[in-house]
Amino acid sequence: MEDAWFQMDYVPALAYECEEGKDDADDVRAVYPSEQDMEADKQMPKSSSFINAFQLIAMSQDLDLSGLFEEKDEVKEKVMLVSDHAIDDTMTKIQAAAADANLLAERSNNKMKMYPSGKLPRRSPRSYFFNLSAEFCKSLSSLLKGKLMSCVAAQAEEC
Amino acid sequence: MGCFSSTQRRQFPGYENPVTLASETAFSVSEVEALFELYKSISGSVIDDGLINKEEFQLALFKNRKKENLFANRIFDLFDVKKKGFIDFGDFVRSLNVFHPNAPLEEKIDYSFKLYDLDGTGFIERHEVKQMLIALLCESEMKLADETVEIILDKTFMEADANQDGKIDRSEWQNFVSKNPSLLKIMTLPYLRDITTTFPSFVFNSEVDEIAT
Repeated sequence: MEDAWFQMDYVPALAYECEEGKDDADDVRAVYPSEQDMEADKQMPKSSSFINAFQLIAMSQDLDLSGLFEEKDEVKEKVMLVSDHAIDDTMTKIQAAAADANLLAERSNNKMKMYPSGKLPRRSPRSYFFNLSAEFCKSLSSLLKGKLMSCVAAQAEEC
Repeated sequence: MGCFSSTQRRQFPGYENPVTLASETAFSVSEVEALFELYKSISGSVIDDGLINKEEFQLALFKNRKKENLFANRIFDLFDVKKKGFIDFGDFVRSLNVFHPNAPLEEKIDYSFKLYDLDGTGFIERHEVKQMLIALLCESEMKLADETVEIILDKTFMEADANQDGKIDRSEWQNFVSKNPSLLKIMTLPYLRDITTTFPSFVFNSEVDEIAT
């Protein structure tokens, strides 16, 4: 079974993740600390000036239960779209593409959360998602005038 | 209420009424339904008995049933609320509830304390923290000198162990976590807030009436 949502990575400059279903900004900061966070850390009281054993332990993948929610055979579909535009510009384009495909896009910092704007159809919601994502891909790639890496083809294969 | 009148469900071992579970947790009825789909696939993956045993739990978490490790064992033990050696649906939902973004902080603090109190003595002892640290280092193939490990432990206990008795009790843990809130990050799964939309397969199989949600 295929998870129709896909992740998009932007490669140039600041690398950050666009991941549906995850809107936890802390996650982003943990992986890609921004300059602001570095500053904040320096100003924090002594507790952050050394590595805390529990902080280390909490980094364990084995304590991450999100594995429960991943489909067994799922090969996470990553579609890479390259953008030559600045971050804000790119984000705006993503939102525009989302609107085109009837998706709602919420931006928080450098993350984008997307979900369908209407009610899901009871019958064959899977193909509905397939259509949504295909549309989104098409729309975004034309907005970016970038390279669309066989997005539609990959999706079609899975379904 | 004829929503869940499917006899297949009533006979499913370990099944508990979603309405009851929803009323006791932060999940809505349709979210419990979605969790049931997940539960069914996990519980049937090795032995089709409607219950999650340790092997199935490991398989679900790591996609690898052989991967026994300290943390997985600990989490399984906590999920196995009734200490029967398997997790039933009620255990599953109630345990996952603690990880819900809306679950009370108190519950998360409690759960994390129990998680780290490996031998269940009611205290997080230094040797337990050491054990977990070493497990983490092995897992991530990080290499730290023994000395460094000791220093890390020293400093951690200096901060966390307020009365300096060599172990962390429940209230010391509470204080420690309030000063270091990022420690509770592992206790929240943002996924849980959007189960029914994040996982189309659940929506696909759901029998819940739109009205009932």
